[in-house]
Amino acid sequence: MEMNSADFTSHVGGEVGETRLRVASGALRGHTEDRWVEVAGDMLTRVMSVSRVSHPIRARSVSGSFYVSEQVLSASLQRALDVIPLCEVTGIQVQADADTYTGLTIRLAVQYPYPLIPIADQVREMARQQLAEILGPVSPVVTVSTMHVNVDDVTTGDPKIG
Amino acid sequence: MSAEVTSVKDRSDDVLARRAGLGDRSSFAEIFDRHGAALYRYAVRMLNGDHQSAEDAVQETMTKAWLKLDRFRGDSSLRTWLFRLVANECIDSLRRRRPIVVGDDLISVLSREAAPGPHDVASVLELQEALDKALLELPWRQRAAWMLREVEDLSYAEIAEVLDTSLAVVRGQLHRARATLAIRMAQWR
Repeated sequence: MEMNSADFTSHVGGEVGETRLRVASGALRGHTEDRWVEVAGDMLTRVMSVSRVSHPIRARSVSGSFYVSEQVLSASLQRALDVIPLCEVTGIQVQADADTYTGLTIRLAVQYPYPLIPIADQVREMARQQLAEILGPVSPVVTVSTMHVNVDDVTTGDPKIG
Repeated sequence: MSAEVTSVKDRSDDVLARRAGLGDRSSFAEIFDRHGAALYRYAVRMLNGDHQSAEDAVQETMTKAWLKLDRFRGDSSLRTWLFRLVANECIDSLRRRRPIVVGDDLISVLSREAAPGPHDVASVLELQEALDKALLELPWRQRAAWMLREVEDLSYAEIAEVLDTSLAVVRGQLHRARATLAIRMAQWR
């Protein structure tokens, strides 16, 4: 009977080949290239020096107006809101009319079974403070109509860990 | 209520991806630390041991990840998504250099006489070097499928997604890769 190619390779490889392959594969799984250890730090610096394209939002200070990128605003809001326990920010959308701030939507994952409303209120207040710190006095003022806090997810564990 | 500070190391990939998408740099740095070495290990072998090209491919992968994470919706796992990015970078790199041989029939005629006895002893390092050489002989898709399954522990479905192919093709590629590598390892020395 003619041997097909799969039978042929299995036969020739045999137990010795498979054992060696298993040992070598295991070694490769735990292997980190020396070169990677050398270049990783500089590579991370280069990667993070690249900026995402982001809309400018006008901010006001006593000395005049200036622009803050939407990305910087979102990142600083996320950092500020991170101190609030039992919830995790899952999304931030800044609404703007051209370059003028008009509102904010913050999406959250919240830990069960804690009450949602006090957490949402805390988030809104913290975001209001952070907006004022970065953009100066904002108009429209922050209310439940101009800043939406949406709870998109409820988790049984700590939503900051996942 | 607890206000304990959660370490970035404790966070899941999903949470890190979401936070990095919002611009959190420490979360992205953790993603880089957690997955960079594996992406590099894969790229080096897919680029025939060329470390400079592998470095370029991983840097481009990580740059794209940083720029696109705000649109990452988690349809696949972060790890699968990163491997898909690096696999595409490797293909682009090879295309820039020379045509890619993607045939599956490259197994050369093998001599049964070369097969060693079962009591051969070799150091793990030597075996790993032998495996690296054997991997270079595999066609690109077989090599990619084998690396992703046996070294990076991706599921068949994840491999199909990374390589943009079907489960049946992945099964076939893996079967052929395993058989060829077992032969090569048996012939070693």
